[in-house]
Amino acid sequence: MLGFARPFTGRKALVAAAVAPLVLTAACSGGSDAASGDDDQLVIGFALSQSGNMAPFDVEPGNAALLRIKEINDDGGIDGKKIKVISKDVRSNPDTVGTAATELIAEGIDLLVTPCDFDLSAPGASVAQASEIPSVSICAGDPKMADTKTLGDYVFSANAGSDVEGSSGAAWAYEKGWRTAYVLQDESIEYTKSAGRYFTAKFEDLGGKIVGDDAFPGGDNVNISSQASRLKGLSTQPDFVYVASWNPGGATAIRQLREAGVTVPIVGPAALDGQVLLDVVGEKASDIYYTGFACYVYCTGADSAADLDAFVKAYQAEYKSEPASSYALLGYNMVTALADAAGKAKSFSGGDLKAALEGDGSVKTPIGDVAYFSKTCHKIIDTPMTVVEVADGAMTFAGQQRVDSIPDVGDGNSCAS
Amino acid sequence: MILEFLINAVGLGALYALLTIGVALLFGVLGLMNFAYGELILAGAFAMYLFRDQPWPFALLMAIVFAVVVALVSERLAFHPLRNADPVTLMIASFAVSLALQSLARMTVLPRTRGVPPERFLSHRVSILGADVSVLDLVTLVLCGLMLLVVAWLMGRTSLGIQLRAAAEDFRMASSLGVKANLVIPAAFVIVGVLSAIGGAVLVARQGSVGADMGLQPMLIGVVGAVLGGMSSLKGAALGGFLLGAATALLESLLPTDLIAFRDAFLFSALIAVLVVRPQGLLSGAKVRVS
Repeated sequence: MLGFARPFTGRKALVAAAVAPLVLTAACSGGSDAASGDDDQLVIGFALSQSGNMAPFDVEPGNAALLRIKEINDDGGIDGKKIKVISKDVRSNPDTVGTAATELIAEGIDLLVTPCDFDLSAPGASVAQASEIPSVSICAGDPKMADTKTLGDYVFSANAGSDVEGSSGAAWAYEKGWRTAYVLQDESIEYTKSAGRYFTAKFEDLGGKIVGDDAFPGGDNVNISSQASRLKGLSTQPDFVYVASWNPGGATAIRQLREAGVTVPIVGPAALDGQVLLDVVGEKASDIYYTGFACYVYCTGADSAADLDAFVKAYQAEYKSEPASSYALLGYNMVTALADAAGKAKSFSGGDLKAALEGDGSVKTPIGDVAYFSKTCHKIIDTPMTVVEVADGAMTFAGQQRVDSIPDVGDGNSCAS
Repeated sequence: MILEFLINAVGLGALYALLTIGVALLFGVLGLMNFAYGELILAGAFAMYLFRDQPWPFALLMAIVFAVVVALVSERLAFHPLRNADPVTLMIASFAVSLALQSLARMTVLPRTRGVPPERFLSHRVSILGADVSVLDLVTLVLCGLMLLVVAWLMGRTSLGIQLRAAAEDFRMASSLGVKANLVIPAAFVIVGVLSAIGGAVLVARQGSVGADMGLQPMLIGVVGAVLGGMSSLKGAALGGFLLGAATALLESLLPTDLIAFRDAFLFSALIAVLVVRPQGLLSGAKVRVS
């Protein structure tokens, strides 16, 4: 009914549309008389949530990003130029994001970092767009963040997106030899809907068959006993079920499927990632897989375990706690990509930075090489998704999955082929 | 299949009825529309998380203790000083209590959602008359049904119940006839605390997660169920909650996949239709204390 926490996505651009005119005027009257264009240092504005219901999704990626900035500065900066950060708490409130962006731009930032969510990022991104300053969402998953049209061509997202997640899930299951799938769709947010849509399209493209689908409203109060008994009542069980959902509702749905006696494997997207999934499904559940960003802390056996361990150690040394989900790594990797682009940019002006970001930006990260941004696709273009297996109360690395193409499902996704 | 559905529907109905009488009881006795009800559920649910490694009955007992303590403290600190205030003031105060408790939980113990592993014995499945039923559904049904019976007995057969009903009928008259406000009101809060703890424990067993805002939806269910059944009648409230739960389960079973996302739209359209015909609720008496 009334889901309060709504990370990663798109509750329409309504809020953005309502707020944008206000903040645009504010931006125009605010002026940018400060140190903008000063090329001695790269100034990045962080407009993230330190409080409110989005804080769990912004704090860790933001911390990881700050950690990476510290590392780069300690290493001598970008060709000798240091990165400076100005942070403002946007308190999980779309109105505050627009105001914070206006203030940050007035303080002379070269780049803006916005929250891990399309809806929250939109007002800030609109302000930056009007001032022709690149803005990068730290991990928003909705493809609308990256199509250069919905919000503008100065707007980026440092995440692969739910289209990539859905497609990788399909590709991985197909390679595993599974040919029939059943889709259980969480209808609560844009992220889950696009993950399900792209999963279906990719799986059918590959030659798999969707033998049935069902939906549930999602949100905070999940009860899928009817859906589970319909699935159990099928004359032949599918090879696996794709649960297009997010935590904690998605974890609850998986738990209820298992408790209802559905035993076929379950595959899901990255928003199921984290310790909470393990706790919710419990020790008895097994044969559950999701396409996450990394396998660390609560998950063992990663290919690049040494690099990931180094990241986790550095994070823990700085913040006295381990990251609770793999979204943290996205913030860390984002800074690597931004610094790489800034190193190639002719100057730190908005236009030059944008051009450099859109250049061929493949960077080394703890999960391997990741290619960021092109002219038409303003999100991660190529990244290995980490498939994590949940079984007997433990999470283990089940492989890495890259997809070479995203199916075109007719939603205007400029990253699709 | 049909029996499985029935147990599921009746179980959900019983849970919703339990949530609903918690709301209706305080409204009846105090004229208090308690929006902090969700946070009582949260207190119980949090105890289930805290004692997740202990035996389930012990965790349940602690859930009751937590919820009752929070209920009594909120009564003493927030509602007691406002005892003669009008219902709107009380309602606003309960909003404040709700937000304060929720923020407190988010700042201290629940900055992010926590998972509670399934209880081994609850996730077993048993066969009844050929139907495959989970123990959790049965426990939900028995626990909620039992609580409803206990409340019915308490209200109908005990001196406390008679005093509570008298206070609900006409608070001033009851107190001039010797019903002690300082006994009746905290007693009502204790009952509501117990009900919300049971509700919270069942919700945690079903959902497997505890988050700071988890009480919001059960509270809304309670309010809507009470409005549907009739605010001033406990029987009506229980009936309203039960129908709401059963209708939810029915819609989940019957709606085609494309329309399941709009389940609540169908549910609330039906609710509006009922309220157009019976604005006072299904079983409401003549007097409704709504300001």
